[in-house]
Amino acid sequence: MTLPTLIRLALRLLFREWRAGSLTVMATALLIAITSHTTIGFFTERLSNAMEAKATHLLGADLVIKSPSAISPKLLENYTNGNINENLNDAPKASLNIAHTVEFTTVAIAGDELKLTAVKAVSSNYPLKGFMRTSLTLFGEEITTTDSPPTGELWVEHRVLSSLSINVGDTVDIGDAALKVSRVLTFEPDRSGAFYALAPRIIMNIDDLPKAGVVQQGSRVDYRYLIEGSPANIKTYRDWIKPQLTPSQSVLDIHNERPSVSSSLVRAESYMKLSGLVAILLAAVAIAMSARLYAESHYDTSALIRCLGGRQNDVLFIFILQLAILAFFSGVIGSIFGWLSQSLIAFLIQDMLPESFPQPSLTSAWTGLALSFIVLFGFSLPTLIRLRQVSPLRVLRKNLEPNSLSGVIIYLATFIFVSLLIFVYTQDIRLTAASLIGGATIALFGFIIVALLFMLLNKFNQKSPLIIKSGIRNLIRRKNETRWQTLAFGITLMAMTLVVIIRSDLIDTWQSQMPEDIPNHFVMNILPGDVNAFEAFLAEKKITSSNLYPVSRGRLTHINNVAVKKSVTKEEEGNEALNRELNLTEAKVMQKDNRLVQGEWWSDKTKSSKTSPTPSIPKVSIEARLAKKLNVKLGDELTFFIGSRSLKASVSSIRTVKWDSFKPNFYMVFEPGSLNSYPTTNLTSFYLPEKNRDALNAMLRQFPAITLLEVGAILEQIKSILAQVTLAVEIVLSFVLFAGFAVTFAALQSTLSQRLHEGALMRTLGASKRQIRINQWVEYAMMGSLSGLIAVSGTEVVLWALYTQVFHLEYNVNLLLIVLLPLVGALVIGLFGVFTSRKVLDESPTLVLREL
Amino acid sequence: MSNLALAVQALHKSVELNQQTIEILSDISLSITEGDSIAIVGSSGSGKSTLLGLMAGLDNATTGDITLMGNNLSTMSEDQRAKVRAEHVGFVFQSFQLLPNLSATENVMLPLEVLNQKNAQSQATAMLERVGLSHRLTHYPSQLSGGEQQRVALARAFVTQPDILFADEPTGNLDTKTGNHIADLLFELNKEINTTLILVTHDEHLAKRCQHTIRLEAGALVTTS
Ligand SMILES: Nc1ncnc2c1ncn2[C@@H]1O[C@H](COP(=O)(O)OP(=O)(O)O)[C@@H](O)[C@H]1O
Ligand SMILES: [Mg+2]
Repeated sequence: MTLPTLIRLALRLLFREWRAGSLTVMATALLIAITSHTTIGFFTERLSNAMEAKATHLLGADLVIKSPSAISPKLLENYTNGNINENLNDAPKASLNIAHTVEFTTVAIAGDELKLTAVKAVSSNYPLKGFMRTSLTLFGEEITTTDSPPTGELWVEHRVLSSLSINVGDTVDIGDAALKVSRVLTFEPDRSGAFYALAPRIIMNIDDLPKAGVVQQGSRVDYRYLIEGSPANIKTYRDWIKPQLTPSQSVLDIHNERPSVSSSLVRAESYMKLSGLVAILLAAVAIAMSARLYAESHYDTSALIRCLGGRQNDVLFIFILQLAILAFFSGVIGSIFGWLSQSLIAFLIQDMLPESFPQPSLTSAWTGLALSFIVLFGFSLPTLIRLRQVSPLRVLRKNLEPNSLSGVIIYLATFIFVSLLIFVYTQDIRLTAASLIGGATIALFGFIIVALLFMLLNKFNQKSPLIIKSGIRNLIRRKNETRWQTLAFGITLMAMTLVVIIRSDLIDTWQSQMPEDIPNHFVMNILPGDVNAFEAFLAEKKITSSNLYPVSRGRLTHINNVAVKKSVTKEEEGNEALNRELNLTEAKVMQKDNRLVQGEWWSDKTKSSKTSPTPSIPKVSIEARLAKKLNVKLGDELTFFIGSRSLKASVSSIRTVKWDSFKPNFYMVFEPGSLNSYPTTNLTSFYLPEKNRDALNAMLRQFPAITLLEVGAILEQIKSILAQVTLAVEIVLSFVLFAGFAVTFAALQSTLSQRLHEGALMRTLGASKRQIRINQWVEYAMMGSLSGLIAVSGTEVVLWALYTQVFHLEYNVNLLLIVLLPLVGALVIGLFGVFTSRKVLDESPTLVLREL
Repeated sequence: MSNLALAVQALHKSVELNQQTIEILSDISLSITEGDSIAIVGSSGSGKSTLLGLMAGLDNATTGDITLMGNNLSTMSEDQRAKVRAEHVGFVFQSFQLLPNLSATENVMLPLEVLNQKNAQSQATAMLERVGLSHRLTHYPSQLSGGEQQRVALARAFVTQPDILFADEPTGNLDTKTGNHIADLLFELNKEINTTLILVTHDEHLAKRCQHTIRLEAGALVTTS
């Protein structure tokens, strides 16, 4: 047959097939798989772009060059927009925006009052990325702004106002310049180490700097060049500038400056990907089942075309072309659906997004299209290829079935496809192997359990009430098919249950991480004498706070008597923990959310038995990541400089810290009493609702020495991200549920023609519709509850493994599941089963019998 | 003497079933001249359909030779035999064997398309008109009665003007009256196109309308007339 003829025939057959509905399940399953894949793809791409954008906002630029002195203009100027210098040919020409900042500490003076402040002088295009938040009055309404102070003006933190006893509108002297305070600064994007910086911030215009004359040769100044541009230009520039910098200069970008996307987001993303994978695998099962049915119902077509002289490959081509068309349309429509559903998510949460949410690229649509072909062909070709083998003799002898490919080949092919899919999705060979082994084990045990259950059922059916007896007998009689169906439903139900349970756990964890009253303020420098009064103040205002921690500020200088600067590697020289003073604290018990990874926490006993002959040095517990970077081991001796005195301590434990908990966290925690002879102040955090912000005024008036930091803006950002992710997770979950339903339908359809025939016979023999309907209900509901039992055992085993082996949590058998799943199974399979079999009752028996 | 349409030489057919070899056809030889009409009769299970399938090249003989319009089928591959079928053979079956997803016209066009003939549609329409179904051109098999379906099948069988037509119990699924109409039509068309007809039936009346009769009993040829 010629190609055009074959194409025409394939299209004609496909069109009718589509109208008759025999492709619905296959196409729907495929559509679910592709929609799920593309939604997740589009959304996670947007999410990570948004995260990246947020990170650059926190950095204030795409790239920052940090230097202790002004860098040569040559390194910058021919990059600036419209300022391309033809003479400097060695430098790549690129258009970048550059903002300048100069940071230094200086004394601000207002009348008789003095205060040491951290000043940042900024060019007028600052901030390049992100925004500042300011208010026009002290603790007044916050306004987001991308402006910067004009010349002659200052934006200051509230602490500057209180310590200088001035108000907005007053004048402050910075060096020789008298500048007017025009706004109160509440948030700036690129504040590194914001929580612990001590001197309050003042932002001024860089053009006022010469007049002020505070920055002179030799003064400690931090010059920053904030650079913005397209990713390609940024990369070219970074590669070009890096080798030209001196050791004291450095390049910062989002990857080394800010901690990457927090762990909850990483977990959310892997959850989405894994659920997406579950959805695709379930859809693949549905496709494989309906493809088998499709192939079987086309043996006659195939035989006839062959009988009329079509070649084997003509027949195969017709069906492959049909698949290709189906794959193409499902891929395209699924991608469109994916695009729409991610747009819907973005639309639903647009209020929570402070900045624009970047549009995704088309990558996911392309992979979606490819996936459509891979899934459809991978899971239907092994059965459809049999159509090629159909003997033309079938036109004379109906019962002639084509030789199937050997079972081994089909299973091997399917296995390879499943492994490939899992691997492409997880990019993790161990996870792939684990899921394959886990899946195979579950299937094997599932099958054994099903076989046992059927045996039991058979045994006890003698004693069943009459009304359900024949329904159950039908189930057992058909056991070759129904056992597989039960197993398929069981595993589907299990996958759905797992995805629901893990989702709930995930979201619970987030909610417990981000409770309503998570601290949005930090207070430092609470004097030891003020502690009681401060606690009383909090109690009076009904403000919930975390514990108070005594804090000494000190620098880590030596590890095992080797100077730190010498003992660490070159990259770690820039580590913030080494370059600035650390908050050192002491505590009797470990903070709840910290976890020991090595060593032991000190107990009261070791403290009291302090009768050892050599007065031992105090113990210290160090944060795990820092310990790893500095290569510090248990028992190492650390030397700190606190004020002008040194303190030696031996490392007795290493612990992890939840940095994103928004509670006070410490790199170094000492044994109680260690800091007794050193100057300490206290630190705490508390939650204050937005509407009660005026309590801060009273607090600052009563305790003028304290340092107050507001972190509400950052918190809001994080909360909005979690809300987005929760919604995305929920949408992904719905794909898994839909895919599960597709499997159910596909499996039920596979026995439909047999049931139709039987039903017609029964009715011809005089059975009433009522009787047949009861039988159907009994049979399907029984199958559903058996699959519920399979799902319960599978779910419990998987959860147990996850909790005890992966999360290291205690696992309690979920009793509710044991009751619920068989019931849900019975109900769902019962409803779906009776629904798909409704034709058995509706159609006239003679019609059914004639069709066969 | 005219040419042979079909020659069967010492044909044996046996199948393996549950590790036993069952002989379905044993030592059958016959030859059929072009333009003849032959009825193959015998009781149910005597091997009529098996013989028909072998002669039409739908199946492989265990031993023996079959020559169809000068082509030795036993030496040919599946696809080569398919080509012979497309060029020389038409079929009519007891169970009609129309593709449910194609309309009457499309079903009739199918063998023409296999032969890559140009004006398939007009030829098919003409043929359907000839069998009296001009008002059913776009109907699907499920919308046609049994008799109408078999008319479509007849149109499909004759539309390529085949040299040999194989018919396996063409009236078996129809009531007597409709069956007679179909048989009339079959013989009329056969005469018009001058096709060699090989008709399997257990209906002696139908067999009598053929020029010759071959009787099978338990897979062996008992009489020819
Ligand atoms: N492929 C086969 N496998 C097993 N038995 C077969 C096969 N083909 C035919 N038979 C048997 O051969 C005998 C003849 O069948 P058939 O040719 O269909 O008879 P008829 O058409 O005369 O009723 C029957 O008993 C049938 O069961
Ligand atoms: Mg027969």
